[in-house]
Amino acid sequence: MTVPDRQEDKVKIIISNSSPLPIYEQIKQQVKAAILAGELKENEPLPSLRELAKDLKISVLTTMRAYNELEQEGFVTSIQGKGYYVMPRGSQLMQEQFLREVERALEEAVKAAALANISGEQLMEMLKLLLEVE
Amino acid sequence: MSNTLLDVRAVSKNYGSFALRDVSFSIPKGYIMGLIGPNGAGKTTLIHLILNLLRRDSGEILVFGMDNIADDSAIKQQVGVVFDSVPYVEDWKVKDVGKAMSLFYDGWNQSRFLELAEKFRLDMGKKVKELSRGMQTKLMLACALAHEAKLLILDEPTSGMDPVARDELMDMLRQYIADGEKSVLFSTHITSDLERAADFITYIRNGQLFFTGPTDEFLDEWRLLKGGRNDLTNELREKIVGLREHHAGFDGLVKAKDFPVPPDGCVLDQASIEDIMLYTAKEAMPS
Amino acid sequence: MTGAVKMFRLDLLSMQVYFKSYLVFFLYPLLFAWWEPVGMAVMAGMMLAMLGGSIFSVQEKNKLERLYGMLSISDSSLVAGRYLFLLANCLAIQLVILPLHFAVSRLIGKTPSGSELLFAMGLSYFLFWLQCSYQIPLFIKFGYTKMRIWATAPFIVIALSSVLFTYTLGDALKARGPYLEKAIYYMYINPLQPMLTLIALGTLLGAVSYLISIGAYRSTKRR
Repeated sequence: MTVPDRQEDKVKIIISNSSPLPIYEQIKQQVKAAILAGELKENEPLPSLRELAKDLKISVLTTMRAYNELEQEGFVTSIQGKGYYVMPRGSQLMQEQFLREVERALEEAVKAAALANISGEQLMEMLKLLLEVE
Repeated sequence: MSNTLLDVRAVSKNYGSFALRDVSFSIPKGYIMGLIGPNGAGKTTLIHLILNLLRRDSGEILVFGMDNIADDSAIKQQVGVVFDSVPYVEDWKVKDVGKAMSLFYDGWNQSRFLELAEKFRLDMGKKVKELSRGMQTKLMLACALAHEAKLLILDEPTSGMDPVARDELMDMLRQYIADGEKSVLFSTHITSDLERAADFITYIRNGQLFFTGPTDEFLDEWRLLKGGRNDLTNELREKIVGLREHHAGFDGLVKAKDFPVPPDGCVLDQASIEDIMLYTAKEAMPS
Repeated sequence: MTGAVKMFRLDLLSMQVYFKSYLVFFLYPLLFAWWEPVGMAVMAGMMLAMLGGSIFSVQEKNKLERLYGMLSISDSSLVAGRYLFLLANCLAIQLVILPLHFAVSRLIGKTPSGSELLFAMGLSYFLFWLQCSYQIPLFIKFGYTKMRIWATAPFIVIALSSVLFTYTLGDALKARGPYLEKAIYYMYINPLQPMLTLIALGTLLGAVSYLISIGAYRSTKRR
């Protein structure tokens, strides 16, 4: 059976069994990443809940949880009877979420540095280098 | 019509040496519920009660909002059943089975039946007894799907099926609920089938309800605790379900809320449905 | 189509594959053509009732109760359909046996009269219901295998003893009971009234049995 080409097919979501993250978290992460990277644009529809569940071979409630949490966190919005759509990137909620993600990543880096006995200055240097590469 | 397709309320049945006591659960439309429990726990009895093949002692069973005894005929037009073995005359050919079913269902769609038979590679001229176990199950499924059933009830459909056939069945079930209007009740002791497909789990043990609710909730409630023999304190012992001690250490099931972090020297793991069943089966559980 | 007719068609479909077991009925006229049609009818009635058990046997062997249970049909319609099927069996086979008996008898020089045949049909119908009205509720309630012996034994006894009776006491009766002989003679000549009486009685037995069977079927669900 050939799958028709649709707009919402452009998103890539892969579930890994070996990941320590629960499935709904994996979905959330990948959707957020897609939004960040611009692969999922403003007002674009997400794959339908049930279709995604069927395609990924997971339960409907799991995709529902992922989508609901994405909506609570401000990344998508749901329209009754139509589905879930990507929120504009400028939205405040989304910005807050992204900020928190960055904060968390930085915290991890600080912890790792402490474990490895890397000083604060060394850490700043590393950050500057990385930013330049970007 | 409300959103609940099946509503079992405080159902009890005394059945000789065995009893189902005060079982309640419900399935909203558009979802798959797995019915699990050890053999003899009462899963088949429950299904027979829902189908009015057995009379309940007390409680209520509502299908599509109607009482399953008073509105038996109306309900059965829209319920599809897959038993653990074919309920057909073994000398019937596949086409005879379709003919027999078509007599009783107003919504019987013969071309859909033929379509499904072809998809499942069922030979119309083959006798029921000549079909393999897996093919027999597919025949039952074809019949259930050919009359536009809104509720699909399956009793141990995958025992005796190879992994490919099992996977195909699970895909069919996901496809079945894809429109959000139909639901599935799926009884099995092969829990790996349910792990990623079931939205809800109802767990029956010794005729009693042990758990009913979303699968994620069921899995989130428990963790597997593993550690060395020296790490096993008395305090820990009390909290562990189905404790297993061996030469290299111990393992057991614990409530996730009791252990947000693993105790010293121990490891906390996700528990699978099978794990939870195995460990809870090992001891009589206080609620 | 009412539920009973649907059930009838289902039973037909269930037994179709075992049609061969019905063919034995065609042997009867061949074996017993020398016998009186009445005697033939008695045997036919007995055998019909034994054949009636086969649908229950098929049902039990294939555990068809689960099939019946998942279909949209009321208890009374289901039982009615079963009775319809058995009745249709009885009528269909009689319609075959008796003309066949007539034909074969003619071939060997004995020609039964039309009235004898009519009476035989009525008697056979009555005997069929006599047995079935007793057997069916038992089969429904306890299943074929358990009841097989209990259901047929009484009638084998009756059949055997009536054969004995005919050959031993028959003569004695003839000597003692001119009225009995006259009555039987009368029935042969004017079969219509006795036949209708037998048909009515048989049907009544069937109806009562049907009501009992519904209760029996319902009680199997209370297990």
